Amino acid sequence: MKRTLNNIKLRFVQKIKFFPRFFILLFAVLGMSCNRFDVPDNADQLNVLPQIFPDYTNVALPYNIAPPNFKVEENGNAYVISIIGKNGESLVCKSKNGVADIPIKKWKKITDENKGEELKVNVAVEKDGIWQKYQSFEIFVAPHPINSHLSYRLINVGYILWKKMGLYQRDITSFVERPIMLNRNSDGNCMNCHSYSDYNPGFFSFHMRGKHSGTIISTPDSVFKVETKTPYTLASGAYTAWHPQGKHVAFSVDVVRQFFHGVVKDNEVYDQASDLIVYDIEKNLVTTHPLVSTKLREVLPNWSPDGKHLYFAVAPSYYDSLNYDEVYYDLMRIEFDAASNTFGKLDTVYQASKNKRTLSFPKISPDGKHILFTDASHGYFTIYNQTSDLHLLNLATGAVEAYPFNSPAVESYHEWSSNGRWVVFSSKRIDGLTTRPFISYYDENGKWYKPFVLPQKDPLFYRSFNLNYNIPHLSDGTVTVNRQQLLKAVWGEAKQAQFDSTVDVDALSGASKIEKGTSLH
Amino acid sequence: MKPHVRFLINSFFIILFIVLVYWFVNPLFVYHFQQIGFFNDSYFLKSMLSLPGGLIEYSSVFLFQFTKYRFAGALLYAILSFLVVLFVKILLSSAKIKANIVVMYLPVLALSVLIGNYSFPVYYLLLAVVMVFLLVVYKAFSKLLKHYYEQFIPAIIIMPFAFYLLGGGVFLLFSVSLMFIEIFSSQRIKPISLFLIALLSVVVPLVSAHYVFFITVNDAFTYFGPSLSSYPFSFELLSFFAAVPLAILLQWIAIKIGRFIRIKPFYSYLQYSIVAIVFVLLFVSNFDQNQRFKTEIDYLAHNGKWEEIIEKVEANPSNERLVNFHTNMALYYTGEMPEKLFHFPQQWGADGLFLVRHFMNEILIPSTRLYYDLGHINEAIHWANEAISQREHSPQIIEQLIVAHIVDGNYAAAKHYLNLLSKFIFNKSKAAEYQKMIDENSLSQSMLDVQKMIPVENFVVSRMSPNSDLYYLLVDHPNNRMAYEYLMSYYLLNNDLDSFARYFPLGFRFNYKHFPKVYQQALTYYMYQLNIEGKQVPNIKIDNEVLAEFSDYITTYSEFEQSLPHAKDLLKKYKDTYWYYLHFESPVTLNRKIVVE
Repeated sequence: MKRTLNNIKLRFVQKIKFFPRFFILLFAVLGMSCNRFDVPDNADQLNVLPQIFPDYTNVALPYNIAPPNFKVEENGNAYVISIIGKNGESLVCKSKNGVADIPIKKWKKITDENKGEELKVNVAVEKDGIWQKYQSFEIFVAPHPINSHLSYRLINVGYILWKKMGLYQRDITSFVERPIMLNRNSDGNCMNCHSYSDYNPGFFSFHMRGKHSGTIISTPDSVFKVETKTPYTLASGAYTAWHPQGKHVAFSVDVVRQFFHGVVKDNEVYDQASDLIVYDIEKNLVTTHPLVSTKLREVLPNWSPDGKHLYFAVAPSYYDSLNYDEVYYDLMRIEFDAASNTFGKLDTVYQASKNKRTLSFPKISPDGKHILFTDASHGYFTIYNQTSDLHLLNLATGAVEAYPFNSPAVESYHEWSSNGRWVVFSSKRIDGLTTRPFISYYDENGKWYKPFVLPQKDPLFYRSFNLNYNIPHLSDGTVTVNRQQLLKAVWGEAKQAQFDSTVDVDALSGASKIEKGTSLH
Repeated sequence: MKPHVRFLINSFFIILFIVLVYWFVNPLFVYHFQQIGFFNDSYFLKSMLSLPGGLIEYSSVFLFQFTKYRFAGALLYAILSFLVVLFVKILLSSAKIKANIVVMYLPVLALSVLIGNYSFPVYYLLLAVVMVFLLVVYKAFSKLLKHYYEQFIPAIIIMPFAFYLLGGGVFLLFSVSLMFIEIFSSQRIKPISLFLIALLSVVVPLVSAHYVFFITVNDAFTYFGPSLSSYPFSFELLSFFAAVPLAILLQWIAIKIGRFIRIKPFYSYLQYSIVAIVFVLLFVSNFDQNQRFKTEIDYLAHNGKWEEIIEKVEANPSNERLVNFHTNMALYYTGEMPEKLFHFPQQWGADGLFLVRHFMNEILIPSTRLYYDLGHINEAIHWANEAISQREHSPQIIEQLIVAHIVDGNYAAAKHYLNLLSKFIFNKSKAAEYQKMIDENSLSQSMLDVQKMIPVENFVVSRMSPNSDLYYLLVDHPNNRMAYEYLMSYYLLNNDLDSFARYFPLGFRFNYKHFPKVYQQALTYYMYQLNIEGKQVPNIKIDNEVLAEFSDYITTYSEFEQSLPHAKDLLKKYKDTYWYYLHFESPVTLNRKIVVE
């Protein structure tokens, strides 16, 4: 035993003696390899931008966003990417595979020091011993931050079937993503329509279908599941909008149908009937009004920032011979008094149908001056419609302008940041196939900046990630609900919402009325 | 028993296992059935590591790739099973006492019931290896610690680790095994260890569910996984893992009884023989030949071996819907659809021709293939997307999506799936092939043939009435022979002779060598019915042979129409005809409802 220990000691001492020599050798090798990344002053200067993925050339980023890692897609053996601030401070990434893996601390430092300024990005590539410098590009560091978290549903492309899905939230100031809810914890059911009240993660809801159906409502006081379908409403609440004061949630109730085309590449999702309801959390009460529960199809509610108006899209009623591509939604709004749960005057805000276009997902800017919506050829389920583009409506002038960075692919599911300076939206522009969250800056002068895809640690992430980012929502911080409490609510019995007895049921003429009269079912 | 004899016996068991898996199960079919590719991607790794049992599942998916090669697959199963036996042996043995042979093989005997199931994942085998290995480590660790105040150390160190590796349900059985070790295998019972194991078996899952992993409390105690497979939990599976604590208990009983511990070689041989016989018997009696046949047919269809399918189905007629579906495709590809459609069981009617009216997981890829071959590219992509939502790690589906998008001219989408395919370790070369195809815009002849059949005029897809889709495909491309033969077959299988008679002339352009026999039979009956109803009978020339057969058939049928079972029996010789199908087999005639589990 003693001899063995001595042997070990001896070998250890020999190893220690070897260490200095080893390190000298290591440093020499490293030193040699470092030289490989020295870009000579006389390197060839090219007048073209480097091909990079994702495309962060000449974009505007919030100063609090995670580093926009990218890959230089130019052939080469060595790559040097320098990000230079206004005072000449620089951040240099060297790589053999073209990946700019930007250190997060250095990135934070350089963006903090350059708020409202442009960062210059230089890319140099060595191929066969010859260095080439590409044309520099700029990244504008906007002086306005974006909300710290983005939540979304990750789901496969399936139209009828699904298996695995989950609601996730990403800290967009870093690369940390964590699940809010996973359907493997709820017998694989379908879940979506997640929503926050006023970007507050303390007020959160999402809807579940199937085995544990119901709407999960999470407030700082409680988390519970509610069944919003009542004898007088057509279905459970689907498209959700939290009232900014956090005590009401507006939903549309929809009879959704779907069909596929033989040649046209989009499939069609449409409502046969739909109405609006408002759920009062404290009173556990579902209310509606004859003006938002008509024979027309009211859908996609959205509150004004002051909570006094409920905006929504509306289309003519459904009949069998109606051509699917002749269904146009207009924008309307109705007054709502949260204190008394009463609706008021109804206004038409924008008639897209006049131009034989449709409007969906109206989102009011936090200053209440603009509405960003999806413009498309028909219908409201624009995420499957390749003609879907973002448009901005000026509520003061009624003028509508197209978002200047729309792509030929789908743009939809958008939302403003709480300061109104950023817009996040889903776009299929990368491959025409999968939705990715893009962010675009909208400055005080009403100028839009080129959007960028949400940065990922691995810049090639989006190339091989097959799940869709569904309905991105911004929030200030992480969802605070305790996970086991959430799961308890998910697995528990849904609380049955009561229908507001003050609603004049006989005056309802829409889907709710149809439900009562049983003619639709 | 001498070491070299033991070595020979162990080798015999490994060879026996390899032979059974290689010949009977065939790992190629296992891979085809499960289709779980190893995705070399950090997001996949991260998502796997976020779950108890995930690391083992990740590793098992890697190992599973070897089942793509028949011998490597068989060897993999054999090695993992041998490791289970080896670790159980080490666990049960001590310096003085050897493990009882039958007891030692108990988990593998339980495995013999499971191994013949094509959905049985490698995950469970690897899980069992790790479980028994951790028990061995625990026992060895415990032995080193003599003092009573050290007794708690092994459990505290190993149990949380074991929970992370094994996951809820297996961890519970692991905890039971630890307690059995303490009670039955230790020289003296250590109450502190025992108490601590019992406590940790509850506390570790609870703490994990509340503070570490995003899992339900129920899953923390009962989850058997795996997450990528839909293998159902069963009593047999429970028995496999429960065999480990049972082995510890039985070894103790064997010691108490005092038998089989130091026995003569003859009794050892006897025990080995018993194990081998029981293993083979259990395997054979639980092996699902029907599932094997179905999987083999699906495998052959995937590889386009249509003649082989016809041969196999002729030798072994099957009423499985999937087999029926592939047989119909094979009939088309061998040019026999209008001749021999009713030579094979068609009890599913039109639902043996199209699968999407009734969902089952297994129908998604074959449906994708059918729509692709028909040139109905939108539906091919649609069903491939449905398929991938169910099996997101299937290289086959991803490949199908690549091909469909290339043919559709959507190279951006094809490239997205190419990126995915290239992340599967054994599919890189295939991905490179498709990449070259895109780069050089050089589609294969079969792809070009499909491309020519893509419809140009839009129509609304009808899942429940595929005849309307087929009609539109034909209207756009009258030379789409597959669409024509499927449309005619659809009408026939649906007893819709009016439509058949209306549209069969569309096939004149295909210049059949002679008027297809099945079509003649259908028209004969159609004209017979028109005649009975006093309607005008079209002038269609039918072969005399067919007319003579029909005359004989209808005479007997009319005579015994009131007693259909009797008529069916008498008309057995016409079982390959459309008339027989129409009267005795058609689900429309029999008003048979399709039930899908």
